[in-house]
Amino acid sequence: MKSHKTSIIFSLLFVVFLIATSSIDYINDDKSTYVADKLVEMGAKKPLHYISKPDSLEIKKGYELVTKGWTTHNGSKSKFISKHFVCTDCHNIVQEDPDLANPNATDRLSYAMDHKIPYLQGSTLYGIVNREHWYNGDYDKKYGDLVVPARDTLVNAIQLCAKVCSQGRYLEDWEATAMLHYLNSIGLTLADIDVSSQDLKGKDNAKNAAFLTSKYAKISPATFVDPIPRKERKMGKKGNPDNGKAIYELSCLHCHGREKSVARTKLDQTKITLKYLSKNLKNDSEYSMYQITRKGTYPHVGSKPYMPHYPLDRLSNEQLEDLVSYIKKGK
Amino acid sequence: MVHYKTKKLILCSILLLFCSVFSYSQDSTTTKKVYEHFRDTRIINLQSIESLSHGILELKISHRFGALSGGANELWGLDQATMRMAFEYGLTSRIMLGIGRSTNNKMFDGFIKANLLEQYENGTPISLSLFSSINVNGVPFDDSRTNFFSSRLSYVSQVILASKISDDLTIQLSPTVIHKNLVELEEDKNLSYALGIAGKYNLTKVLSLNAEYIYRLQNGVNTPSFEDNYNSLSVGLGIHTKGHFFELHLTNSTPMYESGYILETSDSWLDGKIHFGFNIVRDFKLTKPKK
Repeated sequence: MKSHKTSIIFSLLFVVFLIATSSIDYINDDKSTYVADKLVEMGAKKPLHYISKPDSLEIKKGYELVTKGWTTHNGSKSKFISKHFVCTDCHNIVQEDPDLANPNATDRLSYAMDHKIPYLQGSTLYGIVNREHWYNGDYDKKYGDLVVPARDTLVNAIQLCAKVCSQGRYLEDWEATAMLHYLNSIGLTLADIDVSSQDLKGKDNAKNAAFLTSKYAKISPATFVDPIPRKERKMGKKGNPDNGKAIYELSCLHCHGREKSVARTKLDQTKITLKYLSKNLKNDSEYSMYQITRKGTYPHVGSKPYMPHYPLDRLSNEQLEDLVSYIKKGK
Repeated sequence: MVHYKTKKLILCSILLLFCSVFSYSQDSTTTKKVYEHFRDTRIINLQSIESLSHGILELKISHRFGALSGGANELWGLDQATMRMAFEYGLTSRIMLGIGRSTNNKMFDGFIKANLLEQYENGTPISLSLFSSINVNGVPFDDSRTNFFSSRLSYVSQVILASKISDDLTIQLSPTVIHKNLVELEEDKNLSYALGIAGKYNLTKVLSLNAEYIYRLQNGVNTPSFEDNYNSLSVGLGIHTKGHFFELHLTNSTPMYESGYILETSDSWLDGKIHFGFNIVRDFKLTKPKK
C-alpha cells in the first residue's frame, strides 16, 4: 500500500515536471518570435516587405550590403552601392532606444553611452520593418516629392536612400531582396517589447494586435529646426561636457575620425582641433557647430560626400549645448 | 671633415637604431594608431611618411620660381618658373605609386612607397616606410658621342622614419641612397648618400609649419659636382583646406625630383639664392577598399 502511494506521488510529480518544462520551452521560444510574425498570425495584413522565414544566405548578403556596401553574388563581388557611404555610416543595426514606444534624444544618448553604440543622425535599422512609414515628418523639406513614394514602402525608402542620401545608385532586385531578408532578421521580437504569450492570453486578435503595436513607435519622428539664433546661443554655459564628450566620440568621430574614410574633414580630440571648432561657434558658417548640426552640407559637383544634418529628435538643443561645452572646455 | 667611412657608419647606426623598434610588441587592440604625421605625402620636396589611402588619386602640381634676389624686374623670380605635375595613387592602404614629369631636365619620375610600420600611442614609437624611385632624364642627347638609354636613368631609395612627438610636432629622418647611371665628370661617383631631416609643427588646424634639410654625405674625395652643389634647405607653410592642400615655401632647390633636389641644388641660402615655390594637391576618391 505504501509503495503504491509512493509510485502515484512520483508519477504525479513527473507529470507536473513535464508540464512545467514544456511550458518553459514554450515561453522561451515565444520571446524570440518576431513581432511581425505574431501580427500576421493574428490576422494583420502582411506588409510588402514582410518575409516570414528570412533565408540565412540572403541575410548574410544583406548584412554585407548594409555594412560594407557590397557582397558576393553568383560567385563574384558586386559593385559598391555607393563609394561614399554605407548604411551603417548613418544608421545603427542594433536597438538604440531603451523605450521603443517613446524614442527621444535624451534617453537614446544615455542608452548609447551605456552600450557604447554610435549616436547617429539616421534612425536604427533594427526594427525598421516594424515601422509603418519612413521619410516621414519634415523629410519632405529636404527631399521634396522624392519622399512621396518612399513614405509608405520600405523598398522605395531604401532605394531613395541608396541613390540620393548615399549618393550611390539604385539597388538591383537581388540586392533589395537580400536587404529585406536581413532587415526582417533584425525585426523586433516579443523579447524586445517585453511581451510574452501570457500577456496575450484571454484577448481577441484585434486587441492583441493593438497591444503589440502600442509597444513600439510606428514612425521615427523627424523634426527639422533652424540653427539656434546667435543671441540665443548659450555657448556651452550650463552644458554637460561629459554628455558633450560622448556625443563627440559616438557621433562626430563616427564619420570624422582620422581612421574613418567617410568624411574629408578629419577631427580628433587634440587641443588644436577643439580650438578650431570653438572659434567658429559665434558665426553662421558651416564650421559652426550650431550651423552644421542643423543644416548639414549638400553634395555638389566635384564633391559628392556631404554631411547629413541632425533633426531635433536625434540631437536636442540641450545636447547641442552639451557638445559645445565639451568643445569649449578643450582637451 | 668627417671621414666618408665614419659617415656611412653613422648612417647605418641610425638605421639599426630605428630597426630596434621591431622589438616592440604591438597590441593594437589596446593602443590607438597615430594618424597624420604630415598633411601630405611630401613635406616640401622630401617624401613624407604619409601614404595615400586605398583608392585615392592625387593630383600634385608644383612650381619653383627664380631667385628672390632677381628683384622687381624679375618680379622676385616669378618670371622664371619651373613646374612638376604628378599623379599619385593609393594602391592599398600601405602602398602607393606615383608618376611625375618636371620641366627641369624634362625629367620623368616614377616611384613606389610602402608603409611597413605604423606608430601607435603607448606602442611602436615610430612609423617606417620604404621609398624607391626611378628618374628618367628627357633632355635630347648630345649626338657627338655614343649614348645609351640607360644613361638617362637614376635611382633613389629611402628609408623614411617618422615619429609624431606630440599632437602638433612630427620629426622625420630619411637616409637616402642615389645611383646615377651617368655622371657629369669622370671624378664623380655614381653612388651617393644623403640624410634628410624634416619636421612639421601645427600652428592651427589649417596651418602648419614645415621644414626639411638634406645633408649630402661625401662619398670619397671632393668631387666637382659635390663642391658645386649645396645641401637642400626648405621652409614652408602648409594650408589645409577641405578639398586642397597648399604648401608655400622658400627653398634653395629648384629641381623637384629626388635625384635633383638632393644632388643638384646649385643655389645657396647664404648667397641669397632663395626661391619661392608652392605645391598644390587635390585628391579624388576613385574607389573604396573592398575589405
